[in-house]
Amino acid sequence: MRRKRLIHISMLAAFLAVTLLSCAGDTGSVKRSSAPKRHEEIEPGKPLCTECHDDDRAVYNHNSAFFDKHGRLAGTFSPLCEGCHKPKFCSDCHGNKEDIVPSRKLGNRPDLESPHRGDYFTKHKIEGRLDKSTCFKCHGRRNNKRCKRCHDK
Amino acid sequence: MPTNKAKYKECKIAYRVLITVIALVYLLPLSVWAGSDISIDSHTYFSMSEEVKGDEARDISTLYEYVSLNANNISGSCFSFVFSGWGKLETSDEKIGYEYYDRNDGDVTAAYIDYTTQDSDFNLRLGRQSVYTNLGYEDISGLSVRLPELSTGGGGGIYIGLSGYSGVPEELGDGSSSGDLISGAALSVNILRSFEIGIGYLTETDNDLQFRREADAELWMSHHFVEVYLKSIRNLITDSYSYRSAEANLYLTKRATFVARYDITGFEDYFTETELSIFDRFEHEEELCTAGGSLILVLSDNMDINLDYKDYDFKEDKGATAYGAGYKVSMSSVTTGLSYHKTDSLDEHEGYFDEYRLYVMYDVSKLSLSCDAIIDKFEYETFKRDTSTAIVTSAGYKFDDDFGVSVDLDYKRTPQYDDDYKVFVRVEYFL
Repeated sequence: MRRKRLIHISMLAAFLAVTLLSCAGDTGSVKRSSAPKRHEEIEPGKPLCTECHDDDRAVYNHNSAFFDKHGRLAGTFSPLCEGCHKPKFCSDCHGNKEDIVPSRKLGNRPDLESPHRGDYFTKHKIEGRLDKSTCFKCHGRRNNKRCKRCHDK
Repeated sequence: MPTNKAKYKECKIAYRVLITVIALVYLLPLSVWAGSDISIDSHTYFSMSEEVKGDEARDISTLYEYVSLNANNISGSCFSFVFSGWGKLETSDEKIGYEYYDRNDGDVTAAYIDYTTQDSDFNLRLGRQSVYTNLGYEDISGLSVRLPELSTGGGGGIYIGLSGYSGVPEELGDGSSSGDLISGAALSVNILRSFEIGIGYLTETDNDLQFRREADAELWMSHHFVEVYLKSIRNLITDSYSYRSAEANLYLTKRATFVARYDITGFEDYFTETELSIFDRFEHEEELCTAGGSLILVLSDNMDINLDYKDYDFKEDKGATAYGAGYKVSMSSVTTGLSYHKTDSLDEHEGYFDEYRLYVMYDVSKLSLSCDAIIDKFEYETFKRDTSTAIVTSAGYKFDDDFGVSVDLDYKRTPQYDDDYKVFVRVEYFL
């Protein structure tokens, strides 16, 4: 494991070094301190910000990479999300006591990213073993009722 | 004699009611509505299912109603009111399997008054709300504030941002280890809009016992085509790192993005408060290290491909590898997606599976149709069969922009269930 980790760290360090060098002297901007309360009307479907904005908005493009980092971007500056999304959009998946899994609510939108699609009941014990921290982002870090139903001590 | 926990729950309910009443009183006078931007959404869901396991079959049906109200810029001011909540009614005789849940239940997911300046630079919220922090996603009944950035002026320079929140945490658990007060703050220093250093702090107490205390540090850097994000979370109670990650996004061209990620999760420090039995099999010193990347290629305006790879490396347990590819194409009214993912290793008896997925969506005028099929092939038979099949077909009709109905038919044949049928009806109304 140590050897593998060393390789991973070396690869990452090399990547970061290249990145830092390319960043040197840059005064570009991705993050903004303010945003309009409502974004003007856009075409239905997943937006690609760079179609209208400068390339420095690429971080917000709703492509396949966006799902993994949406929490971080919301944590950084949520008003930008709220320009288009209502609070229900977040609580549909992150709601406190949600009874309906997101994939059922979005059953008519298979193009949208959603956890628990397909036979998740069988897969959850595999994916849960792979990385429990990913479950706990939605199901609570401590002793979620739904988890306790089967996994109580 | 009510226990502290019972008192705490009573206080929470009273607090929620109080906040809602204050908000409604504030909203009711008609003059207040003038100049407001008001929207009301109603989503009604009706779920019916039949699960067949051997000779046993059970039918379940439940009616759900989700309502949300947004009243923005009340009377043309910077004040807004946001409410959302849901309720359910089980209409079948048989109770759904979750014994922890009531047959008829509901929750307020948001009920807060918001004050936001026109440029969104300053924000204050009071009431039941969700706060997004770098230490996690928290549901609270309380107060949150984000102050305007302090800057050294001009287009460049140093920008300092500060935000904080405090309130009663909404329970995600059974209350046995959920706090009665949660507070947090974050400070960020942005240099030349290209580098940012952030620190955050969170504390949660339960009857004056502090059982959660965390701090995080972040470094973010960005250039036109490169974005790097480093993050570490420290559990201040165990005095050790619970989570560390490094992420690099490389925007090679407008049509190609490469993402590399490296994460380390320390179980002892990340899951300190967890009492679930799923942790029994692990040594508490267990640590998970993941490394991976994904490449997203937009081949044309209506076609993209993504490739991903992730390696799971445990300190004690056996590791695993997951990788796959997805392809999506849109042609006028038809969208199709095709993907394959494989997870292997973990151990000899479980953990290997191949997943195949194909979906098709057809949208024309007011009609929408879709079909989503997912087949999972498990390497080892977990029960009596090694393959699960899940198919969701959906048909919807939009009467106008504000009113639509759709029906899903969901069929599953899994290692646990011979046949699992579900019907899910959506009625969506926007005012």
